[in-house]
Order: sequence, then C-alpha cells, then structure tokens
Amino acid sequence: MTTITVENIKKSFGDADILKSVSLDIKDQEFTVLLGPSGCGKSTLLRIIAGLESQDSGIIKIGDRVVSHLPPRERNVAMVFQNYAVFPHMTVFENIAFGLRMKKAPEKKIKENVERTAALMHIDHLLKRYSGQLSGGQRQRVAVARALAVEPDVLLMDEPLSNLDALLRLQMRAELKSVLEASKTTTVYVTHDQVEAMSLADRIAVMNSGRIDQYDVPDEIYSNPATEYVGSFIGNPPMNFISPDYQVGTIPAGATQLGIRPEDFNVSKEARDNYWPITVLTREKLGSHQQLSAELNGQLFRVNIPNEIEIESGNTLYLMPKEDKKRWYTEGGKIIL
Amino acid sequence: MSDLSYDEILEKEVREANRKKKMWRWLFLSSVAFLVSWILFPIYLLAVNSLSSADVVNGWPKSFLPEFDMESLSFFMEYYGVLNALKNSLIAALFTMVIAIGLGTPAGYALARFDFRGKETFRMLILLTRAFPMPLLALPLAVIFINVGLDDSLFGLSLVHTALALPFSVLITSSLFLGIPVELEEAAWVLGCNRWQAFMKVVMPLALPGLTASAVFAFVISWNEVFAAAVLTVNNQTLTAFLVQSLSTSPVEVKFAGGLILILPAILFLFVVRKYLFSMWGIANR
Amino acid sequence: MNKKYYPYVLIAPSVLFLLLFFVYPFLEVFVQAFTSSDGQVGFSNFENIFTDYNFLPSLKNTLLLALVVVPVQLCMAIGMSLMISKMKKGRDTVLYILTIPLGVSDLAAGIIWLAILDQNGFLNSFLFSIGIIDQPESWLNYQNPIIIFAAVVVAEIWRATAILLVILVSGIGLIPKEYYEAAEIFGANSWVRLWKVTLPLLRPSLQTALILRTLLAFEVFAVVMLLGGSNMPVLMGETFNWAFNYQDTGAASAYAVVILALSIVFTLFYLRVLRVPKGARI
Ligand SMILES: Nc1ncnc2c1ncn2[C@@H]1O[C@H](COP(=O)(O)OP(=O)(O)O)[C@@H](O)[C@H]1O
Ligand SMILES: [Mg+2]
Repeated sequence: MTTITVENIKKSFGDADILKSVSLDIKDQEFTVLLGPSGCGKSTLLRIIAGLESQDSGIIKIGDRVVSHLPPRERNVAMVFQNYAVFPHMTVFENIAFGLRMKKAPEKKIKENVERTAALMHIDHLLKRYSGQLSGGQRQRVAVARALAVEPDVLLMDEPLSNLDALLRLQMRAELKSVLEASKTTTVYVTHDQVEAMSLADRIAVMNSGRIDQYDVPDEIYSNPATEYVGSFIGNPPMNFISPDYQVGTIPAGATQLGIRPEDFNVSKEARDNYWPITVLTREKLGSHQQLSAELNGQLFRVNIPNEIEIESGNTLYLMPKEDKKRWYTEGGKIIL
Repeated sequence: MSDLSYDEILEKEVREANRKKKMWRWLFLSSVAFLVSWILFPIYLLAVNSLSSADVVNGWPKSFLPEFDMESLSFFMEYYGVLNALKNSLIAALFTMVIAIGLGTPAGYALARFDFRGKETFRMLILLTRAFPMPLLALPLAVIFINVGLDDSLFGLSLVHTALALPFSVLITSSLFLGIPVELEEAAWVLGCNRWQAFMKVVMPLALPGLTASAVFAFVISWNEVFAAAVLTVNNQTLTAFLVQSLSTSPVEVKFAGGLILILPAILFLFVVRKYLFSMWGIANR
Repeated sequence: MNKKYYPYVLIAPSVLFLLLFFVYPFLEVFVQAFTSSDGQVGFSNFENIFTDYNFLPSLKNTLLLALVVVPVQLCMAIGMSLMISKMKKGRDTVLYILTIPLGVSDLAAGIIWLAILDQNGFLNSFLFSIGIIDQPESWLNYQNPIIIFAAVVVAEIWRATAILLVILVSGIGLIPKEYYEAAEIFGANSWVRLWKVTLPLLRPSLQTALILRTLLAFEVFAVVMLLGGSNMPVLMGETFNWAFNYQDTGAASAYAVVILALSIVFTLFYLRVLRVPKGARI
C-alpha cells in the first residue's frame, strides 16, 4: 500500500513564497499529474516529495511512514529527470543497475531486473553502450528503466518528455502509459502540457502560483473547472468567461462570470431569440473543425464550429450557450455548484 | 520500543536528523575557517615581521602583533640594489604583459572565430608548452642572447617570460572570444562595418575586462618567475633574481621585507581578476 | 587579401614566437646537453652530473617531494573544491582567499615559511609561550634532514594547492547537479556520490591538474634553497647551481634534459591512467 500524503507543505526561496500550503492525497497505484505553467512550483513540490529539497513546514507521508525529515535514499522513491541525468561514465547496464547496487542487491537479482526493465523499454540491445553514444529518446528510455529497476514505492517524473521532439514525444507518451499501468507503481508526474496530463493522469492537480486550484479526474477538470484559472489554463482554446450583462434568464446568486467552453454553443447564421449577434474577427480552419474568435461590444468570444458552416471574418454569427454546459463563477473566480 | 507511540518515535527521529544536520553545519563552518586561516595566517606573520624593527626581527621570542615600525621596510628600500631590482621587475613584467597580449589576442581570436587547416596543430603546440618546465629554456637562451646582444637585458628576459605567458594568453583570449556571440559581429558587418571596425567597436568593449585579466595574469607570471630571471640577468637583476642571489649575504629583515613586497602586488592583482579566475582555467583546462 | 589567409596572419606572430623561444631553445637544450666543453658530441655532460655526489640525492629528493606533496594536495584540493561547491554565502570571498597563493612565487612562499620555521621564528616563539621549549631550537639544520623535508612539504602544500583547487572547482562546475540528485535518489550517500559520480566525472580536470602540478613539483627550487640551503639538493636547484655558480651550461643542460625526461614520463603516465573512454564524457 503506497499512498502519498502531502500535508500543508510550505516553501519559500528568500522573499518568494513558492509553495503556499499545498496538500494532496495520492491513492495507492494512482497516476497523479502536477499540471501548471512554468514557474508555478511543480518541480519544487516534486523535489520536496523526493527529499531533494526541504520544506519550510508541513509533512510528507509515504504509506504510513512520515518521510519529510529523511534524505531521499531512505524514502524508496525513484525519479526520472527532465534532462535524464543518465550517468555519462557508466554503461547503460551500470546505469540501470545503479539503484540496485546501492541497495546491495544480489548480483543475480541485479542482472534479472536490469534485463527485464531494459527489455520493457526496448533498450536491451544497448546495454553495453555509454550515454554519449545514445540518442535523446534512448537516454530517456534508460532513465525510465533505471527508475523501474529499483521497484520503488513511488515513481517521480519531472517533465520527462519535454526534451523530446514532437513525434517521439507522442510515441513515448503512449509507451510510458502502458508500461506504468503495468508496473502499478504510485506515480507523480510533472508537466506543463495539458494534453500530456489529460492523456496520462488518473487525477490531475492543477497548480496556480504555489497553490493547488483543483485536484480531480481529467473529465471533471475539463468540464467543471473549479476556478476561472483552471478553466482558462485547460482546453485549447480555453474556456470563455462572459460577463452576465449578456445573459438572459436566471443568474445564480453571487455569480459574476459565466464560463462556457468554445464548443458548447448553439450556433446559427440567422438571428434568433436570445442569441447573441457576434462579429467574427478571425477564422482558422483546423481540419476537424473551425475556430473563430469573435466580439460583441468589447467582449471576446472563442467559438469552435463544425466545418459545414460557411463564414467569413466580418460576418455576424448568432450564439447561445448550451444550458447544461454553463458554469458560474464568483467574483473571486470560484465555481458555484 | 513497543511502549513508545509512533509519534514519539517520529519525534525522536526528527530530533536526531536535526542534530546531525547541525553537527555537519558546524563541522563545515569550522573547516572553512581553518582553511582560510591556514592561507592568511602565514601571510600575516610575514607582514608582522616586515613591519617590525630589525632588532625585533632578529630577536626572540617574537610577538604575534606588529610594531608598525618602518625600519625593516625602509632599510630594505635603501639596501643596495633593491630599488633598481624593483624597477627591473616592473619593467620586465610590463614588457611581458604587452608582448603576451599583443601576440596572444590575435591568435586567440583566430582560434575562436575561424576554422582553418592546422588549427589543431597550433592548439597542440600551445598545449605542448604546458607539458614542459619552461624556465629551463632560459639555459640555451642565455647562450643565444649573448650572441645577439640581448644578454643581461630586461627585454630578453621578458621574451622568455612571454614564452611562459603566451600559451595562457592565447587560451584565455580564445575562450573570451568564444563567449561573445559571433552574431553580434555579424550584425555589425551587416550594418556596414568591416571586420576590423566590427572587432574594435563590438568585440573589444565586451572583451576588455577579460583581456585586462589575462594581461594581469601575464604580469604576475613574469613578476613571480625566479629561475629564468636569475639565469638571464646579472647587473639588471629583477627582484626575484636579486633575492635569490643574495640569500646568503642579505640580512633576514631584507628577505622578509622583500617577500612582502613580492607578494603584495600579486595579491592585489588577483583580487582585480578574481572574476575571471574560472574562465581562465575553465577553458585552459581542456 | 583573401579571407582564407586571415587566421594564418593572426596566428603567425604567436607561431613565430613559439618557434623561436620554445621549439628552438627546446632543441638547443639537447644540443648543449650532448655537447661537451671541447665541442665533442657525446655523453660527457651526463657523465659529469651522474658522477656528481649531489645527483642521486637531488633526483631522490625531487621525486620524493612530488610523491608526497602531490597526493596530499590532490586530496586537499578535492576536499576544498567540494566545500566551495557547497557554499552559497561568502563563496567568492573564500575562493579568493584560498587562491591567493596562486600569486605567490615559490621564493616568496619560502620566505614566508622561513619567518615561521626559522630559529628565531614564530613557531619557536609559540612553542616557547606554551612552555614546550625554553630556548630557540634550530629546526632547519643539516642534522634534521627529515624536518627540512617536512618544512618544504608544508610550504609547497601551502603555496601550490591553489592551482589544483581552481582547476577542480571549475571542473566541478561543469558537472550538472542532476547527476548528484539522481545518485542521491537511487540511494548513494555523500561518500558514494564522491566516488561514483564526482571523481569519475572529474577525470579530465584531475588529469590536467595532476600534470600541471607534478611538472611544477619538478621545477621547485627557491623554497628548497630558503628552507634547506644546500642540505636538500633538488634537480632544479642543481641546474641553477651548475648554470649560475659553476657557469657550466653543458652540465646544467644535462640536468634540464633529466627534468624534461621526467616530465614527459609523468605526463604520459597521467594521460594513460586517467584516460576517459570515448562516449563516456559529460
Ligand atoms: N533553488 C532555488 N532558489 C531560488 N528560487 C528557486 C529555486 N528553485 C526554484 N526557484 C523558483 O521557484 C519558482 C518555482 O520553480 P519550479 O518549482 O521549478 O517551477 P516549475 O517546475 O513549476 O516550472 C520559480 O520562480 C523559480 O525561480
Ligand atoms: Mg520544472
């Protein structure tokens, strides 16, 4: 049973509060993604869980054990680094064996584990090479194999795919997903890429300058963003936030913003009752659909419409948000349920 | 153990971890303090000796505090040949500095900016000089200098010192120029400068502090060099040559004062160039 | 002018200079060493110095000095550079202070340690004040060759550790910190990290540092002259004596050839032992 409990972790560097009381409850075998823009404190949180950085206050538990005072080597975690950190002076075999050697595992087990994980990551033909003789993608595989070989309680990954080129990244993402699903290791994965997060995560923790705004399954994060920040960070293009001045019908008490995803509008080319007449500013054809940006009295709209609708910039289009997709937000940007 | 609750065990563990951390910190700071005083204290003692009267320098037991008596230093300054030696040291070091920078900067620029046949051979030649005890070259040169009339001349000496300093100067300047993006120069060419103008207007201002540092380095190499100076100069002795050749004849207070005078400029210069210490060696390393 | 010639024009002065003042005298050392005083080519200069009663002691002292000083300095420099790399506040100041000896010649270092170890020196004064001795002891005389040797070792360690330090600190700076973090995560304590990560990755710097330092150790003479006088002959000192006191350039050149030969042997040794396999660099 390897749960991870993060309780009220605070961290500041000098005057800057980088983590402002962060808490997380990660379940056994769960794949959690820390998602947020660069600089929001994801890596710092991950490094505190790993023990590479010390928290100012708060507690980390792995399973039932409080580990926040322990050095990394006593936490039984493994980590994959953004630039892989595959030791250049060791062969691939020695790299993968490193953690097991540190644990003084018997030679037989070392050989078994190295060969098994190397086969899993399809690098079994590279075991005698040095990292200088590997491509970026191969190094990435070595880093993952090295982490899996120690059979850790917890696997930590800091933007492991961000140094790969786009095509390789897609392929590695799919492969990682199946390998990690099979390994059943509790995993914390850091990324700033929402697509990566959506596709990999059991649950996503969306971070906003040192806080966690929402910690939930991907579907919930997408359809019920807990804050205006989450709505405008997730989704491409992000959620529209519309002032209630444009709104007809009932508005919940305290609501100051209507949140609606670009694809959640009823669209018409002719004027209709209660539809907003918006002026199209730009139109982009994206293949599967078209994406418009449009405007009404200074309010900006982003709208996704089917390819069948013929429209030019300068034209007027009529919109109405779908009733069941409307989300309401308070002055402070919190969702009203 | 069983009668201790989990919280108590944890608290003990946390306390133990903190204690260990504190102990390491203490150990760390005291070793820093030890090493710093290991370097500074001997220099301080030399200064104490130099700032004391001759009687105290020759007396016993010694006080660990200076008297601030200028007798030793002024005696040293008036001691026969010292002023001249000091002047000679300065001249030789300045010559060395100018020649090493004058020759080394273009070569460094060429290494940094051009790919040419023989580049590796040239680099090997430079590196080779560092695998030999260069002062030894003063021996044959002493003979040669007699033939060409450069014997006992500061210029001749500074040529030998340049042979010591030039490799460093080439490597340092080439690393300096490598650190200045070639795009800046290209921008200047596009805007109508020729190669020389672009170098003077764009590269030079950026490289100047580093060039100064490498010049100072050449100065210190020459200022400190003993062997070649002693072999090549007779009447025009530099300070190091003077001190080494009068070891058995000069009074101790002259030695101590001379030592201090020898060290001070070097310390000051190092302070000036401390920012470049790494870029100098970082690349001079490979 | 054709652009192709630019680099050659730029390096020409340095090349000419080095040919004139490095390659030529380098060859000339050999010529002089193998030319006897009557102009014959042969080994007479070497016979001269090999039969000299100071030759074997000076060879022994020089090698012994390098053998003792260099490993001690290497360990110290590694420790110091690790220390510096862990520092945040005051790092620059400490580094500056620890590298001050870079600007101190072996002559000046000899004078400094003479002030301390001399009969009237500070060490004796200190021992007196805490009551260990009650009159000045003369440590550095011919009856105490081991103490003279130790004094030279201390002075050399004081003076010439800085050069190793600078090279190693910059070498450590080139190692990305993720390697340490990865090692730490996978269970290495700081001792293991030193042996399994830092030192192997530092090999190129160690190589440079050792070559440079060992060659410098063969060039030592002013410190020894100050602290040991004629009681501790070393190769460079003998070279100096033959050139300066006995005015015998041939014999001095023969000594120089011996020093050069030692330098080459040790350089090759380090290059071989600390070789980094291809593809195993940072
Ligand atoms: N060791 C450090 N010292 C000072 N500031 C730091 C340090 N590490 C991180 N920071 C700062 O903390 C903030 C969050 O960093 P990080 O956790 O790396 O963000 P992310 O991984 O989300 O991009 C950044 O503004 C960064 O500059
Ligand atoms: Mg990060």
